[in-house]
Amino acid sequence: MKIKDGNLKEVIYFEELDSTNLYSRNNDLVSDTVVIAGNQTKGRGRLNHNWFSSPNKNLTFTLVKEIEIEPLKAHIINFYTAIIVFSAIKNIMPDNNFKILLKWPNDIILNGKKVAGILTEAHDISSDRKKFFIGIGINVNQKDFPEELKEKATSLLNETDFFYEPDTILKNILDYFYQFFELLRKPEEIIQIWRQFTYPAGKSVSFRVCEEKEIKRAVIYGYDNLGAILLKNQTGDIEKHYSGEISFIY
Amino acid sequence: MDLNYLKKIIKMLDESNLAEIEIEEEGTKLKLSKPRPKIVSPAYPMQYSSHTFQESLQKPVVAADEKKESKPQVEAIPANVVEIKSPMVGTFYSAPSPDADSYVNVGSTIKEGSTICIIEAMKLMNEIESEVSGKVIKILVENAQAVEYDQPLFLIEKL
Repeated sequence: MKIKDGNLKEVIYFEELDSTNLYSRNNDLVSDTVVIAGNQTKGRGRLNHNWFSSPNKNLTFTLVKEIEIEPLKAHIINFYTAIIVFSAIKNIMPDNNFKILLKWPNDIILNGKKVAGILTEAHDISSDRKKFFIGIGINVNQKDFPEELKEKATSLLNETDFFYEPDTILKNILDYFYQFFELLRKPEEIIQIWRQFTYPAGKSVSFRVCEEKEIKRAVIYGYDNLGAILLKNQTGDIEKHYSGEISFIY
Repeated sequence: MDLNYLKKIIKMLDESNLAEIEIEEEGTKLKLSKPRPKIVSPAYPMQYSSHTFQESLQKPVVAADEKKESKPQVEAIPANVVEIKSPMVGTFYSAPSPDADSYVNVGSTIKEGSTICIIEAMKLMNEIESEVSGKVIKILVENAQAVEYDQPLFLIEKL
């Protein structure tokens, strides 16, 4: 691997791996380790949303990081990481004409389609062991997508007509992640920054609390200081949600 | 008005919710009142952020999930039974993925530190570990249910 980084203890690369998060957790890797998979066969989104990835065309990795953070604010790590990945992607693009935005809580949307996602796992955050397994997936040079995903997912290549070096993106992400790490002490500031790059109030969405619940229509009303989403439901009430999935209605 | 009568009245006032009793009888006027409890201002300053945050978490604008009212009422818990509570607001998942088996079931024997469920909030999947070794005697929430901060999730009988 070309990744040489003073912040990291170890970089582990696999040609093929079921899931970088799973490997990192099962092997209880030390903080500041990065696990990369050239081809991730069982990349996971939230629960059973599988992350579709072509071999060696995308960037799928897990950063193992010990972070001191209050359990009730630990989800801020995802918002922080979303800003970092967003910035790294924005930075590598050939020009500023691409519409790139964050979707609650931490998807990265390019020209209306998902280009990157983040899923963080942790062992008991209420205990002293505060090790987080931050899983990041970015569609980089993938050309083909299965039919059912074409409307929802894209890659940097498909939207910009440029090929990118996944290693360069990884290096940018890690540089930023460590550079601004102290921001994690200021969760509300993170949310303020995140808000600048996300879909504003007034956007119509469909919302699903979790896999097993029905989909409801709502309008984004805003986000609270710690990232919970406020939705105006069809009866006009404001609901606050801490988990769930939003999709846009165009 | 004899002393015994007065004692009775005092006892009545003491045991009642009344703050004051006034009796007028055969030209004698008697007025008894209880000392009012002092109102103490909160000991912590209002800007104590983690408190206000927890409060805001516990008071959603409206119930975000219909199942919220099914929050179980836990009766007195025997000394050998431990309640495991949610460390955060989020969604309770009983298994690592929808097609996988639950981490635990009623009757499962578990060890201290073993994972018993996941609470997810904003794509942070937090594996909750058991604080004790024992037997699961009750699961107080359903899979995919929204849970509050500090809401009891499991009852574990220590072994």
